[in-house]
Amino acid sequence: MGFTEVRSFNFRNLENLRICPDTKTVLFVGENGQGKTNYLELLYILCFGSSFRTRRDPHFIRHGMKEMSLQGTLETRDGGQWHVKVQVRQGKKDIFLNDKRIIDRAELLSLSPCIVFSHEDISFVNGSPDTRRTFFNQTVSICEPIFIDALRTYKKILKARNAALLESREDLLDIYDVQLIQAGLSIMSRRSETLEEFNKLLTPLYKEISALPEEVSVLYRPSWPVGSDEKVLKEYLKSKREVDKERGVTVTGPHRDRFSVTLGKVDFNAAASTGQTRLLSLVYRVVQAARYLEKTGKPPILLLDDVLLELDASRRIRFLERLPEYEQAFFTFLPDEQYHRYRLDDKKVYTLVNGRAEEG
Amino acid sequence: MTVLERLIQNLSRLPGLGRKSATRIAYFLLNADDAFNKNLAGQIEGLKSSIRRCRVCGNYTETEICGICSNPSRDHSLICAVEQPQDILTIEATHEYDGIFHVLGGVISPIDGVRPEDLNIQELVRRVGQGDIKEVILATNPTVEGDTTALYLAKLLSSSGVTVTRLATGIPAGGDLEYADRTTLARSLRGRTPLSY
Repeated sequence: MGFTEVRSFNFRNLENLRICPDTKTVLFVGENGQGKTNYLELLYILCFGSSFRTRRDPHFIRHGMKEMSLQGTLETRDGGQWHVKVQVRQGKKDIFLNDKRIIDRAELLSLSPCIVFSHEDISFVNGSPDTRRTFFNQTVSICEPIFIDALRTYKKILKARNAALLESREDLLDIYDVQLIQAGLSIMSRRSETLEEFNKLLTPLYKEISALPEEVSVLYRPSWPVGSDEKVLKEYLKSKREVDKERGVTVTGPHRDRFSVTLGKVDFNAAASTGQTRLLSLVYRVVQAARYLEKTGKPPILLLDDVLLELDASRRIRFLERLPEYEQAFFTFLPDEQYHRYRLDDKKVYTLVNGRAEEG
Repeated sequence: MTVLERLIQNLSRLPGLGRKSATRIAYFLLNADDAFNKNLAGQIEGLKSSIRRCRVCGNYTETEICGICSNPSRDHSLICAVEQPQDILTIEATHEYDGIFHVLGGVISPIDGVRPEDLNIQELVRRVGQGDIKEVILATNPTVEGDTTALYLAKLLSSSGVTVTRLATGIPAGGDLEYADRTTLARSLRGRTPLSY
């Protein structure tokens, strides 16, 4: 079912609102600057407890105000009804699930994660290695929240190892190497398995939607030598220790893993047009959603921010046809877009003017 | 600031006490009879002078050597290394362990400025080196720092010939799977054991 009710108070430029999006598809229609993306951000925060646009929670608060809150009622397929509340007060964010404060926002993941399609996604294809890693970390985490713990543990060990590097503590570095390798290997194996499944869906889907003959796939390029066991990696880390000490940071490991894209036999980013890159970033999200459905058996919530604009008419149709089954989907459209032509059943349309939403 | 306010401020520094509870306690003391207050104040005052660290294991004791270390009926070939003296109380409450202890005084964490030499590690090595010890149980917490400390000790003791073991981790007995956090559950799955009858 998805969200049946959403309320906001002092959130960005949105007028304090209460909407009941009790349909499978919800369309927010408005000119630029009317708050369309803010509506999607609001839903995203209710699903994950954080935003896809900013890491700083106080940014959510409307200018000149001191606090804000968002509330949503979410109905899940198994008949569960969940009330999620996210508030920022005195610079501090608190998340409540059925009126109980939760400490780890990863708890929200098991309810109903959403997948957001936005303009910024293009950097998952052509952005920095760090941004690309973020996308694939997210792809694993939404299906297996335990992966978040693995990443957190790895990060903690890395931080401790870097502190030991600064002090040239050989005795401690020997220990941190063992811990880093154990934590790192489990991350690498999840990444590599996930990527295999990801490509199986990605390659045919990109071909179908783009109607281009080339095969696209993502290549996982781990920082550590592929196929190494604990013993080999121990030697490897030891051989890099002098460099590590010189730089004061650990220069190898899953925190430096890379993901590159190939088009046929060449590098995608060198060969592809901007249109192709944008399309691929959309297909990334479709695959993320499809994989979530495949792994968990639960259709996700989709948030699509003006993304169809970037596609020509035939690709728009093919893209919509190939969206995986979803629990609920929220689209944003400009008023002149012929959205009623798309086959979106059971829909509700909200027209946005100055942050206010009116049905119809 | 009044005397009462200063007391509330100091009481709220105690672990687990917020300002509200501190205020309640302060008013309770204000209304309590003099003998109780005097007795309590005396106990707090004398705490540090009458309680010291055991010369052998580092546990808190009123005598030079604690009751566990000086007990001849305990198994002196088995040492359990713990982070803090409080951990001894926890393990003792199980009545399952009859060996002796060693308090490390913390865990290795360079970020927090705690290095191996800041902990009671050399003394543990010395005790093990004396020859009567057969097994060292590493009972540090199952955290990144606890694991670091355990691995560090395991490496240090590897040449001593004693058996080094680590406490098992997993789901709490009598507990409900539903309430186990996912990391614990994942560790338990990895560390599952065969069952037969």
